[in-house]
Amino acid sequence: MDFNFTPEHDLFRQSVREFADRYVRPHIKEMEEKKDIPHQLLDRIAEQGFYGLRFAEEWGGQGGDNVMFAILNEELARCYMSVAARVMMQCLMGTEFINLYGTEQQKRDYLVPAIKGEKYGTMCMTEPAGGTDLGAMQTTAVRDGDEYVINGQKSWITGANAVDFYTVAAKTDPEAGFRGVDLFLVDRDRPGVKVGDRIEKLIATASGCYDLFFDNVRIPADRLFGGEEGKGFALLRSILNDIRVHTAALGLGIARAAYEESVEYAKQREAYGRPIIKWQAIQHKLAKMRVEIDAARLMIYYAAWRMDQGLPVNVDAATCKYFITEAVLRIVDDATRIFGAYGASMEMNIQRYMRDARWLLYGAGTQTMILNIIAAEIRNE
Amino acid sequence: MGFLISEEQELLRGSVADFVDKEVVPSAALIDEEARFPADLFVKAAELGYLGIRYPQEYGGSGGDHVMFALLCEELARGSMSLAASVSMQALMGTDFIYRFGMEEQRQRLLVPAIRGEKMGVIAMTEPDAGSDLGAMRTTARRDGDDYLLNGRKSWITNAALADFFTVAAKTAPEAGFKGVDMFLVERGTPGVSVGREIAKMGVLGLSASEVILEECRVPAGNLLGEEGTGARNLQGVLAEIRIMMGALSLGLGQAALDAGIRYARERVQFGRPIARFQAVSHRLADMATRLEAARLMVYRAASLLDHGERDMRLASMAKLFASEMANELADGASRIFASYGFATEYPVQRYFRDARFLLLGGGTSEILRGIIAHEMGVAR
Repeated sequence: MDFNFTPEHDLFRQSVREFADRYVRPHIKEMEEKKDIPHQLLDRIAEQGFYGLRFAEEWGGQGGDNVMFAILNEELARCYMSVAARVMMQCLMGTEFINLYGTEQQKRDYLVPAIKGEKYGTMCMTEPAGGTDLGAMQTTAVRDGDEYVINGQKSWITGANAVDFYTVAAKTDPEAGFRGVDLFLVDRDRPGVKVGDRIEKLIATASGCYDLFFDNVRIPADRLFGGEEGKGFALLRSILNDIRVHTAALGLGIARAAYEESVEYAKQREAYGRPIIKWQAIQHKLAKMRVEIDAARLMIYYAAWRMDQGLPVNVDAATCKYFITEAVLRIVDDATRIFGAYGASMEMNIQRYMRDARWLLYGAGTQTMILNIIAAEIRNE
Repeated sequence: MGFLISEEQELLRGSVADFVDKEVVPSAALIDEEARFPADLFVKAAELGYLGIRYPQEYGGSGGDHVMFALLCEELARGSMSLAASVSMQALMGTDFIYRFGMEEQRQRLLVPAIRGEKMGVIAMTEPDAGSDLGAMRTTARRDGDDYLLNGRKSWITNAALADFFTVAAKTAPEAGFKGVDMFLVERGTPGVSVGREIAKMGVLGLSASEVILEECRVPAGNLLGEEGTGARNLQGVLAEIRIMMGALSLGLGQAALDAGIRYARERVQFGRPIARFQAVSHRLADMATRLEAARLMVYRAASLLDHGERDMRLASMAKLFASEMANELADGASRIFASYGFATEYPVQRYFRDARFLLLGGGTSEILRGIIAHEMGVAR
């Protein structure tokens, strides 16, 4: 087994890091304060070709694999989670359904411009009525001649105010629980689409999440993904592993950022006449962080590699996500302890790592849900 | 609430501690190695009034309160879990039903000598197919004229091989689940009751766990302890005490493990200094001591509430959950401090480690306790 990244992977990682250090890092403070990512930065990211990393060259993409995409997510998150989350949405959840299930025309009209950064997309699943329990959603899509009429409210929608199109989950069969869910491609400028309030949050502050309302929004019937009703959940399930593995990669980025800064800080901060890294208590914290990061890295990249090999990955995607989530929370907690009071200072990064890390607790599924999934896989083995 | 124990309680604790240090500690290893019941110490415990600590003076008891019983259990467990578990079985579960629901004649014939250490009483609830799920027990008690006929098989019955009388849980209403259980006095020598095979176990080797078989075992109706249909309720009544008792036993083991760890850390020299001077060791001991203190407060608070007439099942369950897990963590911590010597049979640490597992079982496994706590909190389904 070759556990090494290829030179191509390493070069890519280097280029992402350089990009992040040059164009993202200097503006973090401002983005945190303004709670916004400037469009100029999003454009720059487009220019790098990052949005099309996963997509076929035929659409203007880079034809990159999951290992590469995980590297992108890891390195961006290591720099700034808010940007990493927005980028991942554009690279994956916001566009993937068009890529997998869209018509030729839809790919030309949406995917191609999305890859170029000319159009932005986001995914709309969560509602006040259901996050983990997606089957409880109340947004409906009623067939009416050549159209569907969508009514409902979505919540926690990343970038809802700044995108051009949505992939919306709505029930074509309201009685049927999650089996009644379908996915639709909806333009932002459709009459009846209304972006609601921004949700003030502690986590990934510059990546805005909004309420989103659909008030008798009419869309052509061919905007139904999958060609026939009742397929929504199966379609969603087809990308869940991707979402899990790559969300895990985001977590790994934060973990590494917290760890690396803790090492640096411990080397120069003095107490009782010596750098605190000379105290065993500190050394052991750093050692434990390292153990968990190394383990998480192996799990995440193994899962990504399996996806690239076309191997089943239900368990590995779930376990790597579960593991890094628990690990990153421990790591950022210990990092704040190493930094002492400076862990609370808004001048330092650690407070942001501590906040952003908590996103892992629900992004791509809550821990309890993930455990359910792992257990279900175990039962079926 | 007063956080201090009374002078009387402190006097008892001191005298038990003395007995333990002088007589129990020197024998504890041998009891374990030879896997023999410490009969001589059991008799001494009787002479010191320990077996009757909970019962009134009219039966030869000392009329002690719940805090005193907990102190007794804690100190004894610090010396030898096998002795402590045997004494506490005799002082509580093995005799309580006769005390509370038996006829005076039964109390005189069995309880009084039990308090003197001349007869041993044990409780028989668990079955091969009914441990956590006691309601699944299959032992039945069929009314037959003026008698009951008991049929069934009990398992894991502490000291059954030595018992003179059993308090047997059997269903008078087999369809009614746990609510159909009633408690019966069955004396050794009664035709139809026999002690079966002993279960070889990894710890608490000074007490035995055996099967008890009932085959058309005929007992007079007067042997039903409590009114028919009330057994389950009465059992619930003593469960809080059992859980506090298990919590107290856990404190003793935790203290023993901590003391051993401290002693060894001070003596063992590596890298030119006692290992206690390494933060990894001293911090571990600090964490151990902290958890022990927390457990102690929980156990004694629950006991104290009982003394004030408040049976708080939630608190008793929390105390047992927390203290038993603590004892296992402390046994693990001590064994790490001892390193290889934590493995060697010439040191007590390996015995603490093995004995600690027992604490996770009796009185409800941690998983069952969590369910009970959630239920008591009103959050379980």
